[in-house]
Formats: sequence, C-alpha cells, structure tokens
Amino acid sequence: MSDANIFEQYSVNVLTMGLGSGIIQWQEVKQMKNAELALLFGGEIANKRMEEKILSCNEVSKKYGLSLSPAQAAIFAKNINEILNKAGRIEFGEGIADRIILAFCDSPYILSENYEDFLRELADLFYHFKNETHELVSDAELISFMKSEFDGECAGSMDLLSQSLTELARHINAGKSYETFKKGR
Amino acid sequence: MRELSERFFIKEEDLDQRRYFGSLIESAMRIGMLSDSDIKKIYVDLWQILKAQAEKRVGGKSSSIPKERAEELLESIAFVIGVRLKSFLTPEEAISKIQDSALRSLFEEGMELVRMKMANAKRLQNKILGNIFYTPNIFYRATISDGINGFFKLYKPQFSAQDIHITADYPVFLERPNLEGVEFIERYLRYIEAENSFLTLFDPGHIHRLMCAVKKDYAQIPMNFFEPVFMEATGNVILGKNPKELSLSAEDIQKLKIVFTDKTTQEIALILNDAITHIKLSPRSENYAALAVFKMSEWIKQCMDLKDGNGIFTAVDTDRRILDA
Repeated sequence: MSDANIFEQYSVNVLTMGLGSGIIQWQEVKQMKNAELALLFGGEIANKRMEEKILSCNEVSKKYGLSLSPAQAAIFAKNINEILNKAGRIEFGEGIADRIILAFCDSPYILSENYEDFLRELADLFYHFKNETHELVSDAELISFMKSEFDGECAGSMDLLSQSLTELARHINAGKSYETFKKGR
Repeated sequence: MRELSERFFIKEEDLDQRRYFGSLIESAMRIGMLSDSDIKKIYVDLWQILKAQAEKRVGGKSSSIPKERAEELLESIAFVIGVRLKSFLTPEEAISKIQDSALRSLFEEGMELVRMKMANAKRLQNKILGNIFYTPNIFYRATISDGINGFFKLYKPQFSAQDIHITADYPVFLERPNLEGVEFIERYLRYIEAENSFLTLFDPGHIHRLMCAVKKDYAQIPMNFFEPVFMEATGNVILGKNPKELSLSAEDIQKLKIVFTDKTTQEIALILNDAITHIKLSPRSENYAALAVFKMSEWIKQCMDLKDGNGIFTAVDTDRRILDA
C-alpha cells in the first residue's frame, strides 16, 4: 500500500480525532500497526528501511552460512513491527533488527534452518524484557547479555534464555543495577 | 505569509487553553484552513521532534520507548508548541505560522517561553513571600512556599512540560486556572499575588476576627480569604464606614440588604465597582478586583433572590462572636 493510500485510509480516524490531549488519541492509534504508525508520523516507508538494513547484514552473516532473502527480510521486518505493537513500544531510532542479526549470527546454536525463527524469538524476548527491566538496561547491554547467555549457560535454548532474562528483570526490579547483576553471574 | 483566498476565522472561545495546539489544529481543520499536506507536514514535523526528544530522554541507550512514554512526550511537545502559538495575536496568525514554519522552531521558541515563565513564577513567589499576609491558616503559606517549591523541584519542562505536580491547596477566588504546567503556576501565583497585596492592606487581627466569624476552624481548612475580606470591606465603604475595620454589625447587614434589594446584576456590579474606588488598591489588585466584581455580583444577586440576602456579609463584633451569617 502506498504512502498516500495508507494516509488516506487513516485520515478519517486521524483527522477527525484531531490532536487530543497528546498529538493523536492513543486509544485509536494503538490499533494501528507500528509500521503504519511510523509511516504516518515519519512520512516515509519505515518498513522499507528496516528491510534494507536487515538485508545489509547478509554481508556479515553469510560468513556463518546464514542469510535472509528479500522475502524473508520483509517477513522479519513485519514480525518486528508486530512484536513492537504487542509490547506496546514505539521505535524511534534505527531499530534492533540488524543489531540482533549481527550479534547472533556467529552463534553455534543458530543454523540456517532455524535462523528466521530464532531471530523472531530473540526480537520478542528483547522487547519484552526492555519493558520488564523498565528501560534501566540499555539496548546494547541487553543484547550483549542475551548473546552471552544464549551461547553460554543456555546452550542455545530459548526457554533457558527467557529464564536468565527473568532473573535479570527480578534483580533490576529489586532496585539493583545491571552492573551488579553481571558481577554476580 | 501565505495569502488566504478567503477569510477564515477561528473562535477564540472554541480553543482549549489546556491543549491549545491540538484544539487550534482541530478548529482550523473544521473550517478548512489546513490542507491534507499541511496535516501531513505537522505529523512529520512532530515525529522528528518526538524522535529527538525520545533520544534525549533515554540518553542514547535505547532505540525504542513504551507507547505511554511517547504519549507523555508528545503531550509535552504539544504543550510547549501551544505556549508559543498563544503568543501570536490571533489564532489565524498562529495557523499561518504552523503552515510556514518548521514545528521544530516553534517548539524551541516555546521552550524559551516556558523557561521565561518559570523565571517569572519564581520572581512572583519571592515577591509574595517577601510581603506575605500573616494568617494562622496552615494552607496559605504552605501552598505558596512549600507547594510551589515542590513544583520547581519536580518540574521537567524538557520532557513533561504539561505537568503541575502539586495540589495547589489554597483556593484562589477567581477559581483554579484552567491551564497546565508552568502556565498554571504562573497564573495561580499572579492571582495569589493580587489577593495577597489586597489582604496586606488590612490588620491581620481584623482579618482573623472576620475569618473566625465566617468559620471558627478556618485555620485548619483550605479557605479563600479574599472574598470575605473584599465583601466586608466594600460593605463598610457602602455604609460610609472605614473599610479597614472589617466589622459589620447585624444592623449594618440589614442596611446592606436594602441597598441590594431589587437590583440587577449589573447594578450590583456598579455599586461594588464604586466601593472599590474608595479602597487604595495596588494596580495588580485593582485588575483582580475588577474581575472579581463580576463573579461577586452574580453571587450577590443569587443570594438576594434565593436566600433573602443571607450569607453575603458576616457580622462580627470585637469579641469575635458570630452575630449573624
């Protein structure tokens, strides 16, 4: 769907809602998909940019026998937006799709047959635990922790990785820092 | 400035002072002042500002934020832009500026105005505290000192410019300003400054005597002082007495009821306005009193019509016994 068409589709909702107590009535906007929201706000094809960034990671990941086709990149970008919507978050930066790919592509536990699924699950865990840690762990720290646990103690198990992340979240919610959690591991 | 082929008018009374930017855009859209490309430009500009503010908010540590936080940031951005837009002479001029300028520049100019308002609010607070009317009421000084200090401590105009943070316990006569953020605080302090300036014209002991007659435990409850003192003072002037005495008798009150009997609201306002001229008010208090007269006239008319004129004035004697209410 083109930029103009999406804008037109939402123009009734958006324009008649007006600029509520914020800029848009968020009760309405959260029904929108994240890509379309970014599109509406950003005036550009945010999905397209994300797909391009994902594909650019093939340069590195192919050394480990991993790569995504344009169709797979499009699906992953779509997945990211769905995950963001589910997690109730807005991406305002460059996103984490490429950072997750570049961090995990050299993992011995990710193979080409499970590559897409792992990327999606990693993204899901990432955004879920960004919420659970209340923004107190940076993107870089969280990805680094996930990678180190995934390749280490979790031995490629998503369930075990989720448990490790839950422990981290518990530590943060007790008022402690990521640094003290790392020291204690 | 873009030339308009037709004249468009936005009614000022349709604009919400608490969410000025939003209501201005809505009003402009309703009368066709903004095109689809104007709206798109607004959203694109807002997104750019939101991105920049979100990056500052997270200090470069995250590329995403919870939607609730994005909503708060957008409310803050809209508030700041609204502060700037209010400074234009007409809503139409403000719309023209939105069409012709980047919202970023309006936002930055708005932030500058917000900072100026904070400085002005601090100045107002210091001025009031430097000559604060003495009262045993626990809410008066606490609101102006501790309450307002609490606002300055908690207020983060960069990310939540619309927040007020405090409860503003002391109830000013002209009612709680229908504003947000530092605009609320600035207006609230202006009202208090005017009331305080008026109250300091009178002996604190006389005011205390009057307030005890209004409500015995007034020191423990958030009450407005301006209204009873103003009414008592103007009552004294109407009867040719010294306004500073603040001691109307029961007999005085009966005479005042006769003065207000069968008068329209406008006639009552004229009587009050005339009485004010006999009280030496500061310019700030004069403006405030002029606004107060309108509200008081309506209330007096209502009391005369529905309550036989009771409750307008309070009778006191030197022993502080309540003679009549």
